[in-house]
Amino acid sequence: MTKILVIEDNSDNLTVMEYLLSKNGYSVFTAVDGEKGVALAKKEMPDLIICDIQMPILNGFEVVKIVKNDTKLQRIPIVAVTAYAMVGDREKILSAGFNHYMGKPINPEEFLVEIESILPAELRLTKQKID
Amino acid sequence: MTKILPPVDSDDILKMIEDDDYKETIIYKRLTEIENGIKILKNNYDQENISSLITMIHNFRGSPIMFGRNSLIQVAQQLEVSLKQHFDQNKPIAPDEYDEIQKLIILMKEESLTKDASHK
Repeated sequence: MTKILVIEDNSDNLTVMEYLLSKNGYSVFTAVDGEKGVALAKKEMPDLIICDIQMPILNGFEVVKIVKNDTKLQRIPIVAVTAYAMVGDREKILSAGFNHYMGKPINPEEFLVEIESILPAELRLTKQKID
Repeated sequence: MTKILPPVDSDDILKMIEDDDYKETIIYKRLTEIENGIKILKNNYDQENISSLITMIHNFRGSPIMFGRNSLIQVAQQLEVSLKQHFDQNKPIAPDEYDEIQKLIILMKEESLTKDASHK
């Protein structure tokens, strides 16, 4: 089963993302701060990581740095999901090593489509067409 | 806390995604919490209180309940940026600035009860 790790300290977003992913058959792991997220990534070796930016203990930028410098984890795509929306934030986030950027608030109807567009075809669990 | 969850089905989650009346209620409640946070800050300005308030506003504007409420998100973002500047410069908020912020919150509360053009 495709494993997705969600690292997010905002309980509303964590609840909705976990619901949307698990309801569609994904195995979802969650962590509420960056440090716990990195530990869980090392333990579970997920197929995809969804990560908030503004978090306690380790923020999203610190998480992506650790992930991309770890030889075992660096192949895992990591998506920033963030309420940052200042000019230049998107570029800053992508240049930090994130593979993809999604703004908050998430659109529940598009969230899964966007996440599956990042996953390799063989790991997608829904039958929707990805352009 | 980390956990592994099986697929879940909860009325509360579905409400958070689909129920406009529920969302309005929660938005209004959170704006009241932000308003109270500003009152606390006015009486006791310190870095910890302003940091808590910034986090509260940041989480509010990024919550799924805010999807489609673009005008509210924009005002909340302006407020967050303004408070962040005070935090970064460790600069107390002047009394007239508090008054402006409180007016802004009242407007947001009124707007939260009005479905704007972008509201689905």
